[in-house]
Amino acid sequence: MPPRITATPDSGPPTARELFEVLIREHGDALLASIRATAGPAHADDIFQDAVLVAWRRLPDYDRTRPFGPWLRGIARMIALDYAGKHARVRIASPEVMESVERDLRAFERFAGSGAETAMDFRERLAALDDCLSRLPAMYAHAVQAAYRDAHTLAHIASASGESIETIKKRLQRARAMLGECLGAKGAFSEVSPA
Amino acid sequence: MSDARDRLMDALLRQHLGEDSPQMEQRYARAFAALDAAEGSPLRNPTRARALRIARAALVVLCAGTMLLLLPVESNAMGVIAGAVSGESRARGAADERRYEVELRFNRPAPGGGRDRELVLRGNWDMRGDESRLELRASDGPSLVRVDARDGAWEQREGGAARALESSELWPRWIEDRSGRIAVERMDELLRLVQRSYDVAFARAGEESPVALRGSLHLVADRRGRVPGPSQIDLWIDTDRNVVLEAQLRWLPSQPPARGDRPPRGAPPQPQPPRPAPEGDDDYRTAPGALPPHPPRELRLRRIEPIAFPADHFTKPARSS
Repeated sequence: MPPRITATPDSGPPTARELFEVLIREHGDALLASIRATAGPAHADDIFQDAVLVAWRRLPDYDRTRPFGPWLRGIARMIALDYAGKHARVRIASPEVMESVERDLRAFERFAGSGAETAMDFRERLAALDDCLSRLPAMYAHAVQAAYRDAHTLAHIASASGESIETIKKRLQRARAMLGECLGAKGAFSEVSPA
Repeated sequence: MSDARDRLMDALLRQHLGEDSPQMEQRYARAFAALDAAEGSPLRNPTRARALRIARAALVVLCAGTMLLLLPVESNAMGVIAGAVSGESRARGAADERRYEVELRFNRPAPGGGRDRELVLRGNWDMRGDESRLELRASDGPSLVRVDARDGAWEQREGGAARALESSELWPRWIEDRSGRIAVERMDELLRLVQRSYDVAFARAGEESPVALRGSLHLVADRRGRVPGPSQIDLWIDTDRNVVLEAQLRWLPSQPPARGDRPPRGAPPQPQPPRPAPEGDDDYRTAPGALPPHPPRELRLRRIEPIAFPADHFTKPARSS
């Protein structure tokens, strides 16, 4: 949807820079998710910063009748491709995967949640994940919490549980699949079969 | 599950479980400070302050407003860092010539278990675009030059012939970031590391700067977490030009293991885990000799200006092996 910014009568219209900062904050979480999903976590912060800089410089080109989030994420994808040419640690996704990630993110931005109150922003929509996490079998839930909340390495988790790294890797992959199915069932993702 | 959804779920989990609002706020602060630096804009017009406050009021539903109150000092310091990143990146991109006087202090174990001896290496670190040349000398040893140039990497010991080096990854990776191991040979990369992994603040009153650096802004960066890397980094930044005048990196001795981790008294020594292999070509140990693979106690880089290198400064000498 187009950005909804209003100015109060006594303040004068906000400057372009002020509006831009509002828009970036409104779409920053989805931007970061898109960067991490399409280029991996290694240079996500650098790409995020560069995307904001390029978006500001190209703001005159932005068609205000179009949604801002996808435009911003498109810039980030171009920057990520550039990074991938320079840094071996950037795990760049294929064009099909990028397109699928963008499709899911657009659906996620439209996702209103299932609670009594309509979800307003990305973080609030992410709260739907808590319900899905609570439904994970304990073995998978422990692996997810250790890897993502506690930021333990696969080797550490494997060592602590006495299992192989490959087993932990597979378990996390399965857990992500279950969480994805759970979110999909809630209507948070696109229905088109992803790449 | 598809690769796309797996990647997206990985990203969402990182965001939902691994991050909190202050981290996102820091990310915004860095990005907006970089905008300021890139635009070369002065501090915002005070007449716009009221409009800005009102515009930001709309953000209450989007972010934890209280975080803004908790972060002003660090945001300002991060803004200075972002400006320096921009300035140093621009210098690198424009192939500006830079020289840093470098001093490395290592603790070298004395034979027989006596007190550690200090090994001091001094020299110059020269940079032009992506090319770099490090020349180092110990007080009682010959000098050594290692160069990473467009035409290839090479090294030359004093009195010897220059020899080509196979790997372009010449420098020991003394710093381990979440995204991998990095070297210290790029000032912009070092500053980006500070942005990512350090808490940055202005130096406290009483922390006097060297005379040559007075007038610059002194920042103190403390590493978050306990992964390998310098524990503290002091930076003196010329905020008019957004360049780093001096950087001091200190590796503090690692802490002893927690009580519960210690072996019982009298127990036989435990075998040490093997040192992890470096990734890919990033193997300094295949080209030993210039710098120890373990980090120094202290590394100091001081910018020397003005400087102009001869055209062949990074070129391998013709008579070489």
